[in-house]
Amino acid sequence: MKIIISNQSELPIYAQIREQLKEQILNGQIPEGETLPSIRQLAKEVGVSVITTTRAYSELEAEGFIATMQGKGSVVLPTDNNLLREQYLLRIEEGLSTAIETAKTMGMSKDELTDIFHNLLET
Amino acid sequence: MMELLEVKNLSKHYKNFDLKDISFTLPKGYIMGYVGANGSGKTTTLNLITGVLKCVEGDVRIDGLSREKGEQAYKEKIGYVGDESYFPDHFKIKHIRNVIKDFYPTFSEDKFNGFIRNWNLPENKLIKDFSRGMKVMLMFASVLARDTKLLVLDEATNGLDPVMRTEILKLLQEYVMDGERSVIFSTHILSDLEQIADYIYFIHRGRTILYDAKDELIENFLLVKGESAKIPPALKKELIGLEEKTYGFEAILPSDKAELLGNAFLFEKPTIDQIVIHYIKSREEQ
Amino acid sequence: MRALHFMKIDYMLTRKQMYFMPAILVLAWVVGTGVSKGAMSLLVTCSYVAFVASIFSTAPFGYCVRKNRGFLLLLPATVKERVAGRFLYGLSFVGLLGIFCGILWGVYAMMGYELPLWTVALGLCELAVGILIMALEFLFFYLFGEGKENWQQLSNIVRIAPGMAMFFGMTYFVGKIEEIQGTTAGGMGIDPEVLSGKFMQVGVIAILAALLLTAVAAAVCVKVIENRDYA
Repeated sequence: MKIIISNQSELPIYAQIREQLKEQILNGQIPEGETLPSIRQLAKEVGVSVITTTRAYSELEAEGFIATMQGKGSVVLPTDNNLLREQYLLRIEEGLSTAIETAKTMGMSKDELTDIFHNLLET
Repeated sequence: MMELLEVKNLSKHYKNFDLKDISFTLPKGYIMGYVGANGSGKTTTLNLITGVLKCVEGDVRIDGLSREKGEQAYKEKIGYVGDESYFPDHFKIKHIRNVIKDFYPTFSEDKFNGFIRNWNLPENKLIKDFSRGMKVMLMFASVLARDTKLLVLDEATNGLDPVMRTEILKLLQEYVMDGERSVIFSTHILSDLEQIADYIYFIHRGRTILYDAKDELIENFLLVKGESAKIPPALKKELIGLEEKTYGFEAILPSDKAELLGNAFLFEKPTIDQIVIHYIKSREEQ
Repeated sequence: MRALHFMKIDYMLTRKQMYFMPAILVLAWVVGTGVSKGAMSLLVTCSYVAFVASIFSTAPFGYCVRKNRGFLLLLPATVKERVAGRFLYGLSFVGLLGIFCGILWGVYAMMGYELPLWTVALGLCELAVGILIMALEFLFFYLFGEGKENWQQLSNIVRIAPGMAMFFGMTYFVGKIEEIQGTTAGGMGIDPEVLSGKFMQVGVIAILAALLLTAVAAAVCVKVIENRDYA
């Protein structure tokens, strides 16, 4: 498990932690069943505030990646395929929306954009 | 009992300075940064908390206990590190060890000696001949070697080198690790300390300006930049601490007013320092 | 108990002056024998010791200026205990020097010097005055000077003047003793021997009164400091 905080990032620190943990859970670097370091332990290791790591963990919990049990700490849940799929879908949508936004800003037509899309798919 | 430190309507009047209505709570296991410019009342507040100054107006409780209820128990809960050495100049480490042993039943000599060894503090020098860093580390050794509930740090890392500052950050985070103890530190420059603070309390000229969880503060504000001429009146009303320069302006805007920005301005996540600077500016203009 | 711990702090603060105290006591003896002989020289020596006591018993105040005091203010103790500790330091310091004088009287007695009772009584009065000067100086330092820097000169006058006055007074008295006793022509013809019993009572009462006044001074200091901003 690794977490690297960037002060230049536009993402708040809790979101950086959340995203990096999510990434590593999704690609299997942090296997299911693994116990994550405690909120306070992580805060100390990364050098951020306890509130920040608490928020990262509770959002991961809300999204179904980890479960926190009293006295046992936070455990990585099995990433079932639906969840995985959902996460990837979300990311695809995000990427495409950015592209569409940019296209709109420069006044590109729908057809031009889909052309680029198809061309890129071929390569 | 989740609150470790409760400060209610704390006020203090001097001839040319007033500290007014300071109120906050700090839960167990968290760190608060008490921020303000020099002379804003930080030291006065912390001295009122440690009981070195008398609390005449308002109420301070540590772990539910007020100083009036039990001076000794109250003071035993506090570990204080100041911006300069508060030890008698002519003491050596052995004298300090001696006094702490006499006065604090929870003092662990082994722990204390361990810190002295680890930080290479000279046993045979007078305190007045210590370097600034050594003095600070000795203060830390003397408070961390006993059982306290609240660490009060008054500009303790000022003028220390980055290696020592990092060491102190680690110490503070270890201190709150068990979730039972808390830290309040004052500072006029945030930098590295900002990272580990859970809460920020910001005062200016003895008055409260901002008080919130640090993450909330950063999210609740945007740093806005752009051309001064383009600011619409509706937006200008909401900008905090507008600073107009030759080639553009910079200001802070509450995040919920973001829709006023449109596409004409650049905005980004502010640092606490930037929020603080613009808030001070807006106060001075009033 | 914590008052005793504060007393200990004062001894640690002033440990340097303890090193040269023996030399000062020898000096006191030399001064005494230089002025007179036997019991009279002891009176001078004791007044010199009381002079020394009144100066050096206030030393802890000098070591406790603003910044260096923080540590002591943070200690878990009350103002009462802190002030009591300081006064215990003063009393014990004067007491130690008093014991030295007592031993000196004993040595002189064993060596066969004639030590009239009234001189012993006068010695006790000197001790009482020594204690009283110490208490008044402490009162002064607590009321006007505690923790303040830059008032060296005034504080030095307060530390030195009263003890010095007593020392010179006693030296003058010893020089005039034969005149008073009337053993020389034109003397007053007062024989202190006759009053010995009374002298002894006066000596003991003086010491008790001095101790009582010290306690009162300490109580006043506690009240004043408790009402101060800096506890």
